[in-house]
Amino acid sequence: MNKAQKRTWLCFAISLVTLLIAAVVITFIWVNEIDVIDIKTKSPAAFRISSLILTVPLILIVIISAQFPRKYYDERDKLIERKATIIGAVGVFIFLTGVIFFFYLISRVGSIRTLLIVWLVYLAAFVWFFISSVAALIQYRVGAKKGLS
Amino acid sequence: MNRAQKAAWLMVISISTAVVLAAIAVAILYYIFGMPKVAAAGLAFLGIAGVGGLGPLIFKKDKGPVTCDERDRLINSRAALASFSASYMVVGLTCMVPFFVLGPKSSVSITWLPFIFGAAGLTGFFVHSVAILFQYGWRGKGEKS
Repeated sequence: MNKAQKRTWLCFAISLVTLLIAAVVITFIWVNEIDVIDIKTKSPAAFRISSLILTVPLILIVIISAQFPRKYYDERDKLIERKATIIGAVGVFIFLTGVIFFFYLISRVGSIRTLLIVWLVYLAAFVWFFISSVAALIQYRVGAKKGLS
Repeated sequence: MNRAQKAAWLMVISISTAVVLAAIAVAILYYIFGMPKVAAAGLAFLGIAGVGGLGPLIFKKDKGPVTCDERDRLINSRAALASFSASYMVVGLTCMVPFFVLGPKSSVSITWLPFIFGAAGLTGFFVHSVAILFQYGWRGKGEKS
């Protein structure tokens, strides 16, 4: 396994864990009908701490990018990364369109909190990381089967 | 000038024309009527950008056995990467504007969200075309379509 593959696996793990935690938290908030702004008003410290925790996965991805720089990539790694990033981008726009369509369906008052839109963009970044990691891993897998590893 | 360059030029010209005309129309309508809803009708000029999508139909494929080589594919994938990055940047920035301008407690109408995607789409197509022209060169260098 080369450095590009290691980096892809780490990005995959981080984005998967982040999305799973986000799914659990969103479901919890949704089921219990918790207003996030209420948390901010009642306990600003808890809100700030949770906001800081939100940035941890992104910091980890930045650290991984620094640990596995692209200068070690060969032509095949670059090609795979480029394809995977484009697939991830297509996936993220499908995700965003789906979420907005969902908001349309469920919205009772026809409005959305500005904070939620920012979080949606942040979540979309991890969807991008996740889909592009999966796409890259599939391409490496296909390459390995063909004896290119 | 090859087919991709011609299509990219058509896209750049149609999007630029659409955006400029829409901006002028919105400004004039707002100046005359002073109502944002009436002025928003000027955005209809953005429909001109759709002409750019006719590029693949207008410019026919090369009749030769090889229509595109490795370099063309590389240029196209780089341009696609640039366009998606620019689109996501537009989505990110426009989503953050209401947060910082109106504050986290305020809400925005959901009807505004598709406009963000419209802006992202226009930016994406524009950046894709500009990236293609930038990589090939703005003028023809002997490439044939």
